[in-house]
Amino acid sequence: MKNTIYISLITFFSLVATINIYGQEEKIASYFSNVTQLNANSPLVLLNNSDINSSTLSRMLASSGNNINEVIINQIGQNNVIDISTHINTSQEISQLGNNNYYSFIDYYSNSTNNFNVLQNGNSNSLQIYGTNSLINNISIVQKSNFKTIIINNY
Amino acid sequence: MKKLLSIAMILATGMLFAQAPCTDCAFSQISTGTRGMAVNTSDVAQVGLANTANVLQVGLGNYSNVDQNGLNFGIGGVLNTAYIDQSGTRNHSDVSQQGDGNLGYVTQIGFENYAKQDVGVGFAEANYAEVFQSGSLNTSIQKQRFDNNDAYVYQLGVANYAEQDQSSGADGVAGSIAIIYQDGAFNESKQVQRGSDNIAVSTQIGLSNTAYSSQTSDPGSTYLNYSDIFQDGISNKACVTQIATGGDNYSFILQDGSSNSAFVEQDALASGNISTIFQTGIGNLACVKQTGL
Repeated sequence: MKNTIYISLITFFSLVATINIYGQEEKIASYFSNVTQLNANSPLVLLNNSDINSSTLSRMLASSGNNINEVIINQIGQNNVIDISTHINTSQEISQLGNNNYYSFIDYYSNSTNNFNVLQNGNSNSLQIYGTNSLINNISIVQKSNFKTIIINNY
Repeated sequence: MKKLLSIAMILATGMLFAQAPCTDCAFSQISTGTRGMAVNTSDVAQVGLANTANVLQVGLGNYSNVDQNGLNFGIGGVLNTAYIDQSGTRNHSDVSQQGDGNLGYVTQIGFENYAKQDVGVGFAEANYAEVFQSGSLNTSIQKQRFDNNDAYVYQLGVANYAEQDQSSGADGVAGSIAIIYQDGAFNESKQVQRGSDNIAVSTQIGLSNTAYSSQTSDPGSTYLNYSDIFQDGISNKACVTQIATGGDNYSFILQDGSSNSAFVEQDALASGNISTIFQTGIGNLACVKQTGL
């Protein structure tokens, strides 16, 4: 009985996917028959619709010329890995929401790192920092879970 | 004993993750080159000002070659436009424009199509190249050199490949914009830009797509590198390499799905690096390396 249900579900989703594919092709056929050429505004429309919104871009450009080095990573899910290595002063905003996440930061030949914020929310998260730096300014590491690990080695 | 065992497992897991390499974005899925089929053949060669070539081919194995030639501020090769429309299977389009202010539009619908646009050999200002391909196993290659070049590829289907190479090495300079939008599976995009305010946008929707963006800023303007990659699907790879001198590097990667990897390498001399990565799903990998002075 279960197998029958599974087969029915698979068949259903296959049909839906097939319909979607044919739906896309139909759009293109009409596009071609109309001879509607894409124009110079097309990429601008795409650029404006990209995931970079105006506020993000403005914020980025506002920091232009200030020699700011910044890493912002948000991971939502499980078994995610972040690996960061720098030898310049870099501020970090790291967020990992989920279980079994791993974060690694290797800082070599840098005097100090500023504004270091790491949030790991979930079970079995691990964080490792290796560096030659003497201190990290404004460091904040938050792990909300069980079975968490923090290893920081400065040498 | 249980605590010790748990800690050991966590450390072992951590070591395992630590050894996970940042995957590169080597393209190995799709072969490039001509399609080796030429049933209907069109060969257009134009020398002069403000010429327009309009090619429409429907069927199997269409072959189109458009060559618009000229000199910079001299005789010919300025303000030319090429429209190529091909519908069928194994179509081939080759557009060569060598001058200022040229426009190239290629639309291909079918299977295993090939579109190449080579703009600005020796001279190039304000040229624009655009390709739209729908189907599977399509290839688009565009190369533009100096000045304010735009390039745009839109591919819809499976196992498509697009590559854009822009220079903006000198002369009037200022940046290039290259945008690739791919909707399907096993698609690959590549964008290499060199001078000025480069902007590259790669948007991929589907499975096992690969996006690669390499930017090196220099001559002209504010030397800005800006890369934006959006991937929605499973097992997508995004790689960004940015080198800036006197300007900033900006990389923005958004991956929605599972088993995605993002790799960003930024090097800034007397400037800044900014990398932003958003990943949702299971088993994602993000690697960032920043260097500079």
